[in-house]
Formats: sequence, C-alpha cells, structure tokens
Amino acid sequence: MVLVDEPTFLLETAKLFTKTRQKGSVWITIKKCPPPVKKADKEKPQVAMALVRCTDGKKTIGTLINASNVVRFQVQFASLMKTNIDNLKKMDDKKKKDKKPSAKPAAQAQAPKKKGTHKE
Amino acid sequence: YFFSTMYVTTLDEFVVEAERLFTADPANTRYSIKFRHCDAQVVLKVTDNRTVISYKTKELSDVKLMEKLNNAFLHHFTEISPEAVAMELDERQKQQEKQQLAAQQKKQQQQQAQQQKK
Repeated sequence: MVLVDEPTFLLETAKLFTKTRQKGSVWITIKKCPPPVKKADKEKPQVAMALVRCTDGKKTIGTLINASNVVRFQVQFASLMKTNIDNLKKMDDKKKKDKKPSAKPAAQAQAPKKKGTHKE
Repeated sequence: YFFSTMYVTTLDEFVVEAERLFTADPANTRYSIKFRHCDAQVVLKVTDNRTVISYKTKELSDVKLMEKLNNAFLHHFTEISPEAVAMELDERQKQQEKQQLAAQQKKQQQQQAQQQKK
C-alpha cells in the first residue's frame, strides 16, 4: 500500500472512481490507526489518527488523518462520494414496507416457548 | 479462525451492531465501503476480524445516511481523549507559571540594579 498525503489521496480516489465507472469496484476502508510510538514519547498522550484506504482490488492508496485534518477531509470526502455515487435509485414506499429487521424472526421463535411455560 | 458474516436488512441495525463492535474492540475494528457503479450498489461492512456485519443497498437515501456515518467514524477515530486535553492544559499552565516567574525575576533584577545605581 502506498501512503500519500491528503490532497493526493483525494485526487487518486477520484481517478479510481472514474476508472471503475463501467466495470469493477472501489473499496474504501476507514480504521483507527495507532500512531508510531517512540520510547521517549510514551508518557505523552497519544494523538488519535484515522487511516483511510482506497483500492480497486489491485492498487491501494492510503492517507492518515488526524484531528487537525478531519473537518476539511470530511467535507471533501463527502463531496467526492456525492459526485461519484450518483446512479442509485430512489425506492418506492411499497418496497420499503417489505423490509423487516432481521431480529424479528428470532423474537417470533421465542414467543411460542413462553406460552408453553405459562400453561404449566 | 471462524468467520460469521451477518447480513443486516436495515441500516439502523447496521449502525447499532457497528457501534457495539467499535466500543468492544476499537483497535481492530474497521469500516469498509464497496461501490460498484456498474451494479449501482453500495455494500457497507464493519468487522473486528471475528465477526462481520454487512449491509447491501441500491437506495439513494441510504447513501445520504452513509455520508453521515463516514463523518461520524472519521470524527470518532480522530477524537482527542479527555486525558490528552487535560495534559495539554497542565502543560500550558506550567509554561505560563514559568513565564510569570521569569518576569518576576527580571523585575527584581531591575529593582536591584536601580538600588545599586543610587
């Protein structure tokens, strides 16, 4: 994986999105990144960093974001997603009603068991 | 390793499960977005290398929620802990005290110099 700075990352991610427009996928991963610990700095509090990675399955690029970068990155990242994720459909309300949370079947399975204990 | 993948059907459930994984293991948990323009589909995934929570969608409304999620995750990961803030404040106080001491010492030296001139 190649670590780049924030503006380069955004540029390259935009390129990947356009490259995979007709065919292929883009993966974006965000995770908490423990900063490099030097023995001298152990007493000092660690600055929290986020690692943001982007790949097309072959090439991967990443960038580190910390508290000073976040707000700017959030805004630019959001606009990047908006411009590229543009062909999703608006679902009808009828189709939305068909969606049920996956926890419901488990609750229904428990209900008859309870009835059994009451009868005893 | 035994991986158990759970496909959730609602975004609310995804958020609840994601939060649960992140609070349990913040160091190993990661959030992933997969976008296929040719299929017009987005898959959100959160895993801690033991369990996987996945949410597939083709809806535009979910994309708007996903943007909020992205901002929330980024903010959460770069959050400065209260301990760090406290330590920084302590350091600043110490620096201020040092400066005040130095200023006082300078004044004393000036006063002594004036007395000597007399």
